[in-house]
Amino acid sequence: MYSLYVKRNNFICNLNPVTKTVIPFSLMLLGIISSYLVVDLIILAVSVLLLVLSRLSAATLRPYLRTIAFLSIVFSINWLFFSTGTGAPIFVIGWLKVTEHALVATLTGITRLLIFILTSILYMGTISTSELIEGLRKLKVPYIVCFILMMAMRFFPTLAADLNMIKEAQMSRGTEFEKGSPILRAKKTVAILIPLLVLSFRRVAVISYGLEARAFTPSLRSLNRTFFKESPMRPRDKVIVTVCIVAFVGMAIYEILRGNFGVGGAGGVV
Amino acid sequence: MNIRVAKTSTSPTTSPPVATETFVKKRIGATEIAILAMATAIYTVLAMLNAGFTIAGLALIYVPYAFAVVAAMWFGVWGAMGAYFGTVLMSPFWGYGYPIGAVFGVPDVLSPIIVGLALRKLSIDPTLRDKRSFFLWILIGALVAPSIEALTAMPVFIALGWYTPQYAFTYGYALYVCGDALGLIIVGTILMRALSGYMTKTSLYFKNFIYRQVESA
Repeated sequence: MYSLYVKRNNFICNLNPVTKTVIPFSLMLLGIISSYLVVDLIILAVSVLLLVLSRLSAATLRPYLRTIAFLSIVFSINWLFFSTGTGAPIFVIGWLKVTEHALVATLTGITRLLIFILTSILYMGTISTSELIEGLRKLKVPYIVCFILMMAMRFFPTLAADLNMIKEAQMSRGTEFEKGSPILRAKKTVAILIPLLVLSFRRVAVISYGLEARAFTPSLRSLNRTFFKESPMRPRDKVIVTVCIVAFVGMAIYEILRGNFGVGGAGGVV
Repeated sequence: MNIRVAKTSTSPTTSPPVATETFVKKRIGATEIAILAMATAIYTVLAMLNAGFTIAGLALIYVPYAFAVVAAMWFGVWGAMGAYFGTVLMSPFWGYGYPIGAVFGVPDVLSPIIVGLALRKLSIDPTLRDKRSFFLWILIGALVAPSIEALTAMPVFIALGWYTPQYAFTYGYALYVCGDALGLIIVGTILMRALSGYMTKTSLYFKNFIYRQVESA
């Protein structure tokens, strides 16, 4: 349901978990801080190139492409109908005035959306749960945060299985989840939610007893935990991480000096 | 992390009085972490399923909010915090990406904390059987907290260039509050009425907002 990861033998998948974490995050952060459409388009091109190199299947991308298409339409309508009309008008149809500013802002918004979704897919598709935790730990993310994320991700398949089982049981009793207004459908989800919550929190009680029996403590002692299998940081990993950090810091300094930092999204510059 | 608070009581028998000690452990341990992880997982799964109930990029009925508030009522801050990690994990499915999810997580965790704290302070009945409890639940849970949450979330949409300020503080704001309020009224109320009785009897229920008090000699 959540994990897109399938073990593959290619350049991206064979990188160190730290590198695999740094690449998508630096691309996303660059997309956020950049106030230039051209820079956003370059970041998007790099993201697409990395996705191609990671050899993720087209079937994996399809549901996300649908989300991108839907949200792109929403953002376009939003900017074209709700912007105040600053900048030179490109065309006017009745009361609808499309300005250069609105068009650039729309394109910036859509490009950023593409960057966020594609880099997220790249991250989810190339990193396993254990690698994700290793990468985050080596980037000094607190152990307890990593543990919570790992545990939550391990719950997804269990929750998905429970959810399907309850849904099928309710459907066999005549509940039609796909029919009715959104309010009615939301009401019907309660028939799934109540047994799901009871099952899940019973499981929490069992897990917490198990953790306590193994002397688990979310204290400072657990900071010195080690990994059963550690991936080495090769020279190529060091080069990629350095390039990512230099690109991000350079872009941040440039944007601060230009006075655009943090407001790039509200319009964008060509 | 164990904070041990000693309660000293004197024996009611003959002199000299003998001091006995019972300890109320204010502890953050495995149970809290397991609750947080499960709340995160449920929030994420609900948010992924909820992506179908969206209009103009915002949810018409936001069921995960209802779950986060209900979890805050049962499990205190540990249930509410699931909304933060859940928002981070579900962010790619809503088109945000992880760094934006980490920012959006703040308003998402803010309202369950407000509701959980306020309603505990006002000592409402978790089963919402009396009129006062139900009124406060709707007032704080469906109106006050989502309004504050929407106020903190809209600037993020504007900064990302996804919404114009004109849209964000009119239709965007109204849709955001409506989504949360409808989710809470439709799903949250039923969950509270149906499950609070059961949850309050389990060992997982938090009487306080942060600490689960376990008495030991």
